[in-house]
Amino acid sequence: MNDEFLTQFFEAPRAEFADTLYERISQGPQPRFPGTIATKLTFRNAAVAFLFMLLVAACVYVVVEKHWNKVGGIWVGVQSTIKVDNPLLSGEPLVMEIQPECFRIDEAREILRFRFKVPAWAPDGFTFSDEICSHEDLSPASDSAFLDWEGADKNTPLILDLRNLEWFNMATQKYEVLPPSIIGAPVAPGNYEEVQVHGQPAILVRGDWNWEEAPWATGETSVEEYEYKWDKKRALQLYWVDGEVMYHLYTRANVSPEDLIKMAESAQ
Amino acid sequence: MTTRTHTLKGAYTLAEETDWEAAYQEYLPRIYNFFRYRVGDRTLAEDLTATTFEKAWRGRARFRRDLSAFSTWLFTIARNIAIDHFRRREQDIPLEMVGERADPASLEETVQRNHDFARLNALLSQLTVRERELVAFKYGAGLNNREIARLTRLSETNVGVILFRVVEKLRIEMEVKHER
Repeated sequence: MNDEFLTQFFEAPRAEFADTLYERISQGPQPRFPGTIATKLTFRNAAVAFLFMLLVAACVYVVVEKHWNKVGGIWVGVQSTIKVDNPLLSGEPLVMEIQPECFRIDEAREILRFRFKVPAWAPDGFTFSDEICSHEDLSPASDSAFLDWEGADKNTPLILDLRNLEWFNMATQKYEVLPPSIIGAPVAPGNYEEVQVHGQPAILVRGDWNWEEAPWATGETSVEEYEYKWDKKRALQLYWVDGEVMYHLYTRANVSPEDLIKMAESAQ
Repeated sequence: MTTRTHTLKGAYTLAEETDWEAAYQEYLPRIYNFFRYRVGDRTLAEDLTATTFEKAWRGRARFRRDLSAFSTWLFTIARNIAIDHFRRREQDIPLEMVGERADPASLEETVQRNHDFARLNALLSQLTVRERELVAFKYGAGLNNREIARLTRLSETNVGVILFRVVEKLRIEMEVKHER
């Protein structure tokens, strides 16, 4: 391909510009190194590990009567059971060391291209880490991140997931907003209800699947598949949308729905 | 649902382990030229380059040691900055007007090189956003088709085909204008 007419215009940046920029950024604020949350929030890391186990087994994921309901403008995937083949038998690597990287909120606001709010209030006994974390590289291209509030029991924090619904459609060359939906694991029938956050529709989910009870969690290889069961008392979850961001509060601590909503409404 | 295996163990390195000066030396010209081919203006290219490196520097703790991952990460930041720039710009300048603003005739008194680049820029302005982005990655940043495919989520073949067509179109246009 004769493209010399295009390559000939490559030029070095002005030396003055290069030197000034280098001097400026090298004197800038020092970032914090990735946090070591793995050592202090074992529940969350366990939950993430189990999520990946589920993903690893995705090729044999069996969908049982899954359907979608739209509640308060948010799509909810509803499913009565989840059957998963034993990932230990698939030969896939199972447990990954997952080190989230964390930044101060002000640093993250500079990095992420979407604007997000942070609850100013949390139920008694919970302390905000004042960090925002991600299991992926946190960059302007990131569309998700999470924050956490540690409770008296370090294994049952309050976790707030953020998901940017805005994306750049290369086909149309325009930014578009995805319809809000509960991604990831579905919800068992009858365990979600519409509530209000600042007068806007939101979804309260009571319970979660018993992720930790799969037999392969203890290395069991004699079982070929397992059917997860919904446990109404396992967790409390709240989903709401504000602007172009979908928020998801999750906890296994003893927190009331009212407090969870109050926390959501304190976001600023 | 897609399967995604994470092997993050050892993926992150501390900032002290990254030779920042070497990385800066290597990538500054490529990022700068990416923006120059992308937006066609030296001053603006410098501004956007500075923004890219400032953001990268603030988040450098997450850099990976191998330069390939570093390159992808850095160009992803640059790409998003370019997208954001054009998104803001769309509010006051319609995209279809951009080509009309670059008037090669007004640059005849500048040096020949600047004149030629302005002429090329006028042609680049008539490309679609995607076409121009690919040209900027290829000839500004010096990326190969595989690297461009990874950044744009197009297939490597698709990148090659689009670039081939665009380059042929530009070459003919340049020759036609040159003969006038």
